[in-house]
Amino acid sequence: MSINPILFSLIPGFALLCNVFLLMTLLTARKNKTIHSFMLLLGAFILWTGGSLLLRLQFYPSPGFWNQICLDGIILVPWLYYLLTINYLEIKGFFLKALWGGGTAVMLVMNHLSLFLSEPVISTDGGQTAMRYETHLLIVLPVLLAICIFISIWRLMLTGLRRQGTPSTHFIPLLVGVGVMLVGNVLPVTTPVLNSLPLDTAACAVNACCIYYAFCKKRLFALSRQIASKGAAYFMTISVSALILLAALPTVQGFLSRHLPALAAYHTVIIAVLLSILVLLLYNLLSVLLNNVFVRDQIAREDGLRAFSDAVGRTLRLDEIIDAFLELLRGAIPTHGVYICLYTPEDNCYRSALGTSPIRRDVTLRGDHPLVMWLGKHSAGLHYTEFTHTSFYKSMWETEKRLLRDLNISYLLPIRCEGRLTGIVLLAEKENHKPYCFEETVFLDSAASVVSIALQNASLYETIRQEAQRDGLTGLYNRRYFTEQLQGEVRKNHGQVLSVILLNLDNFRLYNELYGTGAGDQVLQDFAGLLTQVIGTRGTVARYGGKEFAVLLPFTDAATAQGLTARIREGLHAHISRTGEAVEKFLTFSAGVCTYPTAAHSADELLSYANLAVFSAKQHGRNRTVAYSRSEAGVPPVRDKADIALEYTPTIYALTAAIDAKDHYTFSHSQAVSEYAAALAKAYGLDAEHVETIRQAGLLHDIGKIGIPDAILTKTGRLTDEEYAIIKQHVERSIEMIRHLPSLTYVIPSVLGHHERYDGKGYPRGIAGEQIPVGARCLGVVDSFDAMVSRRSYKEPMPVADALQEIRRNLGTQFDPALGALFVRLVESGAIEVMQY
Amino acid sequence: MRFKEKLVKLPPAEVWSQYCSFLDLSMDEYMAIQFRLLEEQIALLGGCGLGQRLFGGQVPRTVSEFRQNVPLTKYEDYADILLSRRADQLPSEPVIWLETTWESGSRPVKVAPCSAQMLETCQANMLGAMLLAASESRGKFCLKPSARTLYCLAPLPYASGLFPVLIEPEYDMHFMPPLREATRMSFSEQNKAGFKLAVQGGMDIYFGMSSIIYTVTKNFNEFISGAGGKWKLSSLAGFRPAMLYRLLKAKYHASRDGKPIRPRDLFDLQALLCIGTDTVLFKDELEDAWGRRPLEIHGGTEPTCIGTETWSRDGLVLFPDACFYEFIPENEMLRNMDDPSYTPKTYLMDELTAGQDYELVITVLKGGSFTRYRVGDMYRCLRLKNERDGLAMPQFEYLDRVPSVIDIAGFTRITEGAVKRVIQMSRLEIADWFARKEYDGEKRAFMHLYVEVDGAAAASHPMTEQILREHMSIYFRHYDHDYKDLKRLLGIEPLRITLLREGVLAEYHARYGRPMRRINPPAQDIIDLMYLQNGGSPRGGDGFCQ
Repeated sequence: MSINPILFSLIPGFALLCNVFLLMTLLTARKNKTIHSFMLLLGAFILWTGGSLLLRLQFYPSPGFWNQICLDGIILVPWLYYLLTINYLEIKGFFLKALWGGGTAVMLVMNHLSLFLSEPVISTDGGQTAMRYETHLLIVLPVLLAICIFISIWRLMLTGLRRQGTPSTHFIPLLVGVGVMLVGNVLPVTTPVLNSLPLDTAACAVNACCIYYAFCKKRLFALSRQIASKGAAYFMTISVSALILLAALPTVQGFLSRHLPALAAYHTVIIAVLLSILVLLLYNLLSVLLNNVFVRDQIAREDGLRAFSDAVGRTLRLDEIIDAFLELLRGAIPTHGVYICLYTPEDNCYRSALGTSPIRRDVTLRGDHPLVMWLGKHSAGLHYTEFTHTSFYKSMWETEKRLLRDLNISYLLPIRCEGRLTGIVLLAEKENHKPYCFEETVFLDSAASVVSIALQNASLYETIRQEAQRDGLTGLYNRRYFTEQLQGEVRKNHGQVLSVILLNLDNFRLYNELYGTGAGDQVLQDFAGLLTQVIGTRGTVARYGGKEFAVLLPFTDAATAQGLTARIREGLHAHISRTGEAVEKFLTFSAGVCTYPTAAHSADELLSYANLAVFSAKQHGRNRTVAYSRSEAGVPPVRDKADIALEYTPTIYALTAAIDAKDHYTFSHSQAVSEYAAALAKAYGLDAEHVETIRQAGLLHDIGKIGIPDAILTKTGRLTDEEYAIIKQHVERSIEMIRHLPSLTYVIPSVLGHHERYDGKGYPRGIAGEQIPVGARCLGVVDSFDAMVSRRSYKEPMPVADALQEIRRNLGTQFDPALGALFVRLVESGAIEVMQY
Repeated sequence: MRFKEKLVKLPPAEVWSQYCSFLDLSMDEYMAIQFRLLEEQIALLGGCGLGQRLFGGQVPRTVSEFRQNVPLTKYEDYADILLSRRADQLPSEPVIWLETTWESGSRPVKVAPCSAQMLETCQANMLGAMLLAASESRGKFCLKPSARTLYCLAPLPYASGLFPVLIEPEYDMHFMPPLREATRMSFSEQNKAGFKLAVQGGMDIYFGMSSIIYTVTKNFNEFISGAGGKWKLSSLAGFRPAMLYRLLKAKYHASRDGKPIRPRDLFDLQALLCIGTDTVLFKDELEDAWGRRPLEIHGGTEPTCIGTETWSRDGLVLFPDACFYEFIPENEMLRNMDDPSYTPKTYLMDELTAGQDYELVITVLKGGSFTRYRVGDMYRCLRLKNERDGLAMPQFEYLDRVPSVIDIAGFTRITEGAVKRVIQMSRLEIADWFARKEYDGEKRAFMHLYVEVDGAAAASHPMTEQILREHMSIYFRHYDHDYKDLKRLLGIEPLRITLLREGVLAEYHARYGRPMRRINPPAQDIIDLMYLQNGGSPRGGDGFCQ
């Protein structure tokens, strides 16, 4: 048997198979208008090749029917080609589309009226199988229509080239396809030898492959893994087996008849067995082929992504997620390096977390890096070259360009979380030096989505973990964490020296009372910052209590710890000096140092003895550091304010004597105010300690007047604004003097606030109502009263009744209503005797 | 991928975006690029001897610190380092040293270093300018992958020589004559040979000084009748058939209509680029003659290429990555001219006023040396943004050199010192003088020298304007080599003389309480002087014209 009869039906068969296969791959892909029109074109090709095959097989119902089907396909091709071109070039062409469509429809109708060709007759002559039919004159019409349509397609392509800038290389596969189709259709007509071969159908298949290649190159679609499914393999196996059977059956039958005539009865069985083996082999072969050729990499990547998703779902540790992500990228896309840069809000930078490059390199991109700014505007990955073509690239520094060039960065992958750019993955060139293809970029985008969620979860977990260990106000570690750390260190450091410092702010309650809790919180934060700065990486700093801080210093002896404490004290002093507010300067701290193993033998002892040392420092006048030692162990005697006051009585009287020497009136006034205030406080129900405090505050409340020039203090006329401003400074001057007596600082709130008004219009701080310490409110009433009823160089004394009336009148505005009214009652009842001087 | 390959393989929109996307910048984005690159430049300067000298030992931390603490500079501030080519003192290694004359040749040749990064930026910007020159609207351009180019500019080491050197590796520009041959020719020979080749083989791009292009256009028929000589029969063999057909057709139409041949009859240019002073005066005529409006680009020896016009060819846009730009308003500049101790205020690109004239101050980025450098160019800010073209940045018109310099056709720059030196060499008994750049009826610039001859000398020697002009021209040509090219290449008579009555300048000084400015005094001052000269009383108005 000559080859011709086999080719006669085999070529259309393979062409049909090829077209069906291409159509099948598209069925599983994501579609757009271009893909749809290509599918239609493939449909026409299937009609063409299928019709041709069945015609040649003289299939039911008749060759004439299949001939018309084949012709339908041929007639449809130009118009569908036109549709494909306008969709490919994204051109609108309604008129011509309709015109060519209408023309094609008319041709189809005419074809079914058999106006173009007569019914073909297939004959085999001398081993040459040929198909004969008569053409009618009207066949010119569809040919003319096809020529017109192809001319308009040619014009569209030129338009695409010139106006839309579609690169000419995009059209090359399409043009090759059309060329092959032209040759395939013309050659049999012009070359008698080839006349009997169905080259037109072969050319049709080649053309379909060319278009398919062009679209693949343009990445118009991505194949899904369904193409490698069992169904596809079955279909292909059946189709190919049928074709092989069709082509080989006569040959096999002839072979069996010639060589195994004795088994003539079993020939059918033998053929069936052979066919079964063939089917099995084909199925396996096709399965492997479909997998390897089309979707092997994709499947591997998808599996990798799934495994990665599972892995990161099981962990909340950042380093583990980064490791898994790197492993995923390394497995899926081999590159010369991957750099995952994560955002660090502390310095507004993106810093590399890890790198697969053999030489690990620190990559840092500043927040204002042009690459960061550009990626901030994109949600998907981008090629580095795209970035180099933007105006953002113009503002790149040479060092920044060099870094990315040295790293050979080829692809950039943003990691976004809730709209924010939380990370950037820099991917170097691939190991095979090829550009990142569409499928890889899709995979990278998916991987970035998964990792962004994982990173967010890890970040949230880290935040919660940090919060559990940290103090909310200062950001330092909290007591629990500190204790754990201390116990851990003691456990680990057998025999090694280790110190603990406890630092307790002096008079912090007073500070809060004076300046409010807001200012107090600020001091705590500043002090925490100072501790962090001084201690650095030497140890662990924690907020141990309200106003108490703890420092754990491994491998540090007591002397070094005391040295550090001295540096902290200097730092605090410098910080206070920088604020420029005199009244803040009394802020100090007392510190206790205890060292393991010389002074303590356990973590508990360390803390306990350090506490004792702090206590000792407080008792010895505050603002000092005491190192605990066993020889000095023991609790120092507790002294109350009365004792302290007793101790400082000579000082108080020395100060009042000084003011007496300068201005006798002020001295007498202070004494009177002291007595009145003490009586009022006692009547108000304050405890004895508080009454004593107020009495001392009364003695010292005008002590600052020592610094006021005599000319102003003793001026008989009205004070000018400037002089009044100087007089008002006496409050702060008083504080400035009292702060040097740390044990008397408890009188400061009363002294500082004695010129505050209940309605908030006083000075120096303008606080109002209950914000004014009660001692200051007492002093405010009695100070005004005494000023009114005493004689001064510029005024006569006011009668007591008038003065009391004045107090009544200003209750709730200048004076505390309760205290003012009580004072009036006390004077009127004679419980307070008005002093004359 | 080379620029040429991009033209072939990439969609035009992508090519446009790569080279011209700076035109899409908002003002804030433009300034962000400026500030960021200045930050880099400050860091580079901070690490070199030149920068330490300019910064006075304290590296500025911010842009405002930079503008406050770093003084405005002139070439004298760099001369000791640059003239001795001390690369170790510069912010980055120079890969090329450009040269130009300094004060008409009275001083050594000025040299300016260019770093590799500067050249890289310059190359990208020049390619952008090429696209713009071949464009008619935003993103729409037509540029062949290779182009026959007539390039009428001076070769390296002049700054204009950078263009072919930077463009050729990226784009197939068939220069006429080829660069190797051109370097062996004089400028004049180069132009003639190039034009001959253009007529024979066609021309796609024409790039030259506007004054030269204008002269070629004016004398087009003489040029095409043999580019300096008659066409020989043998030379017809060198013609491309298409060009021969066009030439014959143009000649036929010209003889039939009795009109001269216009360049557009012969050439279908893709791009017409020009540089140099007074371009704006020639644009309309050039467009009419060539069928394509010229696109002006601007640059200089110190900053290289800094600005280009866009597709509408209506105002320069300065490249954001070439230099950091500051602008001195005209009144501040004049105040500084009168009182050199006064430091003029500078303004940034986003602080300008439309319609105001400014002197440009540049800090060359990317490792350049010139910092807060007064280039000596005047620009007019045409508009702050161009809504028609969709530009959000200011556009400029290059006006001229600063008033202390007379620039004639972009060839020579005459200063007060140069005129003094020429007068001294000529030994003419000139008592006083001043000079001003003026234009003739054909829009050609010349230097108008107003001289007051010493009375005794005038009595003893014939001192007419003609004698003075011829005498001084000889010395100008001797003193300034560029000066003689004006006549030879452009046919310009660059000097005119007006004799003033003896003592009239002193009289002017006495009457107005100020001397007449020596170079480019305001037109009104000259009107007032002329009234004094003629014995009339001065009056205001703008009647002076020349």
